[in-house]
Amino acid sequence: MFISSQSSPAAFKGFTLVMPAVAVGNVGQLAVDLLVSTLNMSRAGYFHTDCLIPMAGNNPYASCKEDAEELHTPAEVYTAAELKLAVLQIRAPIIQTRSKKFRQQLVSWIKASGFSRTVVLSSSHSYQRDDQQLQGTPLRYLITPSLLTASADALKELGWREMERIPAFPGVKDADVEPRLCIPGGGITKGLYTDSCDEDLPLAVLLLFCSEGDNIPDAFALVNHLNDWLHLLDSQNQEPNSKWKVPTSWSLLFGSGIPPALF
Amino acid sequence: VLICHVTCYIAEDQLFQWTEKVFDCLQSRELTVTVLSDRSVADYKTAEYLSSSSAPFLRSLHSSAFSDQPVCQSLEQPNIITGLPAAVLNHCQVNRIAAVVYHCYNDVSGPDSVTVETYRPVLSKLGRSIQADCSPSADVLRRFVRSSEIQSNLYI
Repeated sequence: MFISSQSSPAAFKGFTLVMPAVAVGNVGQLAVDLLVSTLNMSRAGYFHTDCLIPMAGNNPYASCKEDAEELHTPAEVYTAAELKLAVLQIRAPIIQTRSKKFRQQLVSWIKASGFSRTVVLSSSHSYQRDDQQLQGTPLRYLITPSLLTASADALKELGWREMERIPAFPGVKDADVEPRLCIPGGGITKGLYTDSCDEDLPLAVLLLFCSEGDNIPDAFALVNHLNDWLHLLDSQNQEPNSKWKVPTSWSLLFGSGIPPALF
Repeated sequence: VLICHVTCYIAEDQLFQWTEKVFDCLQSRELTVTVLSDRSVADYKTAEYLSSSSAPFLRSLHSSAFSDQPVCQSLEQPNIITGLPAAVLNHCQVNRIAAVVYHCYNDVSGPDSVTVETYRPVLSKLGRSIQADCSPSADVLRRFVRSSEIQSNLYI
């Protein structure tokens, strides 16, 4: 549940919520890190739940010595009031047996807070694409009916590709089964999307096909894609990737310094 | 002063509930929590290579409500802590309780005098509130050392 870290209760009515799904390559989470770091968002509170594995660390977005020693928890909400934007960052894996409970907690919090729309940044295993998905852009979207009414024109203009439904039994022609949505490696993405459709929540999913590895370029791709729609940054004539600020916590992603005696 | 000595393993999906249950028994007003924990130095990430002589060393993490000065350096990016110390710290941060974790990065798997010596500054500070018995019985120490010997018989 949400607990405010400020003295006054947080007000999210009419805000856009962006949140990651803990998915392959942690692309959604990396993209959210870029958002919080670049837009200099301030922490509004904690999403305190028993569904995430506990972790703690100092401020991952520290820009100077003064704010470096601020403790951060596995799930926190940041806001940029001038953009009417709220961001939920999730830093730890979801405990497997509590996946459904976590989705329920999220859905009820989204409803209670009155967000105008929610965008889930996610990813899916690139090795599980079918023939048609192998071609063209690796970015896909999903949208619930209630958000489609408001955003149909914007999506058409952007020319985005909707996530395809996959036949339940690929290769079996006689099977009389409806194609279904499948997001392998997407964590709670599919569950959250279907719950939001059932609860009539305005929610969109932006996902990227990728593999585990150095997912920083994937994070940039996803966050640029999001920016094309939400226009969170001033669009000046800049290199697309140079406008995003990489947080200090992204250092040493592949381990410590190398022992000099190795060579 | 309450001392909670955790000798058993707590599964990661029980950490939250364990912490809530323990803290339900405590009065949170004017409460200060100190957690002593340790981890292998292999988990510590740093840009410069750490030679073996640098371990063991202490790092701290504290909640926003903790106003005192920790006895050692704060844990640098991109290092994090997990497990019970993290669960306790999360609870204290969210509930605005003053808490500090002193995390020792160790290059041996069991307790020894050098590792425990690393905690000396913490114990000196706590010594203002706790009067420790300077010569603990040999039985206590023997039990303590034995429990870490039966870890692995892979290498005799």
